Amino acid sequence: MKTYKLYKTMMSSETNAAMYVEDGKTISFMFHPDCNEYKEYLKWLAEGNEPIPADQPE
Amino acid sequence: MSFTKVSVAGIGTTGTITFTNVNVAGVITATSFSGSGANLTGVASTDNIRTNTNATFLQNINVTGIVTASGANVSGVSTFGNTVVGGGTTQLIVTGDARITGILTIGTGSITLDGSNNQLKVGTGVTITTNGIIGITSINDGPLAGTRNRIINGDMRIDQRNAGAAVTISSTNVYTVDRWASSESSDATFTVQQDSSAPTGFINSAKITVTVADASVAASQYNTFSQRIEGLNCADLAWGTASAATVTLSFWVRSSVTGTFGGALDNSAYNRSYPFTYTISAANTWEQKSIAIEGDTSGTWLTTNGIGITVYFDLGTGVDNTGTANAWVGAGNVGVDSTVQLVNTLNATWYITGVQLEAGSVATPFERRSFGQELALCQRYTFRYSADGSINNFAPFGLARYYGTNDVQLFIKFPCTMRTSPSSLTQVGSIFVNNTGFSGAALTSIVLNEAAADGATVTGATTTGITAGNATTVYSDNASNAALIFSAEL
Repeated sequence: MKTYKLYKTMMSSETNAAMYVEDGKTISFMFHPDCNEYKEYLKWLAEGNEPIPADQPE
Repeated sequence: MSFTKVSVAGIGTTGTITFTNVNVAGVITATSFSGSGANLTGVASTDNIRTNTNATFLQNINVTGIVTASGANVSGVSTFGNTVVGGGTTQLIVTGDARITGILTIGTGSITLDGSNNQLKVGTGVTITTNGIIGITSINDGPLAGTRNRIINGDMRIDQRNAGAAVTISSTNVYTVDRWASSESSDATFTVQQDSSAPTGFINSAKITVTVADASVAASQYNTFSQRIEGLNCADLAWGTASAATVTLSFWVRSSVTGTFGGALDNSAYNRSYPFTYTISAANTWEQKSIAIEGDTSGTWLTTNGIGITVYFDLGTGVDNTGTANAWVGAGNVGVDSTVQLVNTLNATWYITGVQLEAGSVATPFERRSFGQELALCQRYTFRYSADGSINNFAPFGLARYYGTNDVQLFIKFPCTMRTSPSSLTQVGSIFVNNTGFSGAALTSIVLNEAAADGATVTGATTTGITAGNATTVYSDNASNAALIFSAEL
């Protein structure tokens, strides 16, 4: 079962990406409509799952 | 009346003697003959007519037998029936025009000149027509021109993501060997893996193994192996217009299951498709298949950096996504009704390589590209930036900077412009970053940051207490085979 964690890129003012770990690999992806990982993430959300929030700025 | 001796004044002189009938048992010798020769018979029956000088015939010559001559000059229009020219030395020399109203066959039929259809054919391999097209199967058994094949990594040599490891397919559009994706939405599970089994001339194939069978694939379920061809790479085919070009799909395939399999070509909107079939005759035996497909004159086919054509191979799909073979239809399909469903059989295997999609109605030999060329083509869609510490410990990634007390930003320049800004990053192996002097620590939480088609920044976290703004270096962590894999796939 994947667990997604949200994050925002340095130049973004809002959360615009997410990451997860699978088979020892860290996969990160942008919230882009054509991104396959993002499409899977949206399906995961639609199943009622919730991601880990992004870290707060220090 | 007969004479034994005639002695008449005038014979032996220049006088003239007139006879009604003269029968001569011997030889008549004269300097000339005049008068009608219409009733001269038997002249040639005793021997050939011979003349040592030119003979002139002012009217037709009718010969029912064979005319043998050491040479013949014919002026004006002449009609020949069966004519054999020459003997040991065969020559027919025509000075001026020659016109053949039928087909001129040279040899035993291997070369024909067909004036009615304006074609020159050499055997079955070469056809030249008046519209400027030369149909030719190969030149020296090699490529005919650059980039005939619209498929990238058709011979499955490139596997940047997985380096030969098996990938379990349990969702949609999972990329396996470069440029090839698999989708699974049924109760089955299968793996895709680069394999060394291949027909002569190839060293790799993609191998599908059914690890969980689904004996009854539901109507809406699907299992596929496919490649999405970028629209920029197939725009010249002019699909969706009246000038749509015919293409030919060819590939090598083997399977533990025999029978008629299906596949399809689709557009990006998945509302135009051409389902096709191919038959695997013998189990576990490489067979080459070729399918000619007339171009689609309807529908919308992207000519951008989006999906131009998707080539599907069906591994077991329900009727909602299969159709009738060999015709364009205004709906998306990935296969053909009632064909083999590989996923029905546990441990079934299916291999494919040498996939080529090219313009024209003839499958030409697989287009050979160097490994470097093929890798560069793949890097437009996926770029693996490796630092293999198993070869050299602490293999370098590059320079970075600290932008916070424990945050590192690494800039990566891509070797070629990617299709678009990569939207995902996969980090494999352990990565190490210097903090002070020769000491350092592992870089964690490595994620894609800002990205463009020509480069991207990657960020990660390390130990605290770092001075923001300082430069640093990033390596593989000791012997780790680390990599950052950027994806801009379709």
